[in-house]
Amino acid sequence: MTSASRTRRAALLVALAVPSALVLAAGPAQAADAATVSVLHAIPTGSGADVVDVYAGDALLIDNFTPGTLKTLEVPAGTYDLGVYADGETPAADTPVLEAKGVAVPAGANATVTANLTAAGAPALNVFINDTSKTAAGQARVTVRHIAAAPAVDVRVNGNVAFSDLTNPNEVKTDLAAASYQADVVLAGTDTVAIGPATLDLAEGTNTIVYAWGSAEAGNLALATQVISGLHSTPAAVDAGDGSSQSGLPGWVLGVAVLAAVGAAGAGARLATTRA
Amino acid sequence: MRRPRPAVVVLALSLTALGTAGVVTGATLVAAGSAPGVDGSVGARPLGLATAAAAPSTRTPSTTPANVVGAPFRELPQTPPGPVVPPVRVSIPSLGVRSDVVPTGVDRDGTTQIPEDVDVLGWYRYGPAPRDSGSTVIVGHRDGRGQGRGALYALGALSVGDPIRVTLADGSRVDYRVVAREVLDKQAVPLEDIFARSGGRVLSLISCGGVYDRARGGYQANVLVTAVPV
Repeated sequence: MTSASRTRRAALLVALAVPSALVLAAGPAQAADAATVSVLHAIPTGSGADVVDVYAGDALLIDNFTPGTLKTLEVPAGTYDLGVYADGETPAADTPVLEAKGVAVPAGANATVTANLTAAGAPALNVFINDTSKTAAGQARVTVRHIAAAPAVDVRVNGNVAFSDLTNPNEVKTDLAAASYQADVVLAGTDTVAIGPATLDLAEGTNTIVYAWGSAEAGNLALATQVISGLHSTPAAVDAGDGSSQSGLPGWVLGVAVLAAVGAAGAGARLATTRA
Repeated sequence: MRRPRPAVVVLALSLTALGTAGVVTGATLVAAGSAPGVDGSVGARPLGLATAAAAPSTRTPSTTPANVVGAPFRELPQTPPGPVVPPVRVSIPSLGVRSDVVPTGVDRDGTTQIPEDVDVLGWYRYGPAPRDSGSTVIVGHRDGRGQGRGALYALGALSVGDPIRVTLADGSRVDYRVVAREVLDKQAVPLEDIFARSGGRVLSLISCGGVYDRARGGYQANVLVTAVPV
């Protein structure tokens, strides 16, 4: 490693204000001691973190991690010290580019850790909890996360503003009919397109998480996508007939008869007989 | 008691690290699979459709301490969904049925969408297709005003062993044989099994049956025929 790059890395070292017990919300019932953690490298190329290794404590989590890539891992529940190191460097010998200490990952959690730029352009780690609650039959969930060195934005879906004034490092989400949508990102309150348009295929029973990342100043804003599937529900029922084949009568006639018979005794029953 | 669905979801993501499927799962689904039939039920659906392949509810305790150093992190494969080949035709020789199949979804009230034309069947497009794991759901109206009897009117007359042939959009065919026919009170329909997106490949044909009671929402039962690939 050259002294120049070492200086660069030192400049990137960020002391994160991570609470000593940052607890990720546990999801619904899951395996006794497993959790799902995804890691997104969203620091643009040329920012001093082009190829990094991610460690949890002394254990290598991700090797040769490059900008724009996402890895999803199953990890045992526990408390982790996450460190992002320049390629080939190790916790034992080197100083991390970025770190987050004491990240508690309880069983059942589903979270995404992003290495990204702040609105002002400084490298940072963020932890997002992924919504893995069930979606209604026929529905999909979309989550949008702003992790770019960029000001507040609006997200437009099929031409209309769906989410407004989203800022780094925040997210918005909603459930909507599973379908294909056209989406773009504009500077908040304007029609100035920052990213897109892009086609979003929102599959039924998924949470499609869209990350706006990169740097406006460097002109490399982009979208990254993470899809969590298997959130689907079953339809409420299968109602497959109108009764019109029963007793040779149209369904509504039979229905009236049944309704009358159920609803009234004596005279009511006679009425039903008359109608039938 | 049935385990909550989210467990299935999450476990499906973390399958390979989870060891063997527990016996408890099977027992749970025996109970679910033997929901009381109204009448006319024969055969047995394969048990554990919803969870057999994907959801061990018990497993051997991990021998790895839940700690950081040296913990066995495992990258989960990013498996994009493969190409889905939808069914386009169903033929049931013993009933003289030969019907087109169209993709369907969900109605506004959350129930399964069913083609208005009672001669046409609907494939629940959010679930598996015949070449995928899990249950391919095909539905059809029993009857329709002004249209008479639907294609699946006589579904309840199918016998165990009867053949069913499904033609797919690419022209290929999947042959099934009936393993169960059930008439289930609508309150007892095992929707989680019928709409299972993992587990063994089965075909679930559903229509209505039982008593028609308009005041109580129409037909009081579903006829469910389950078939497995030959």
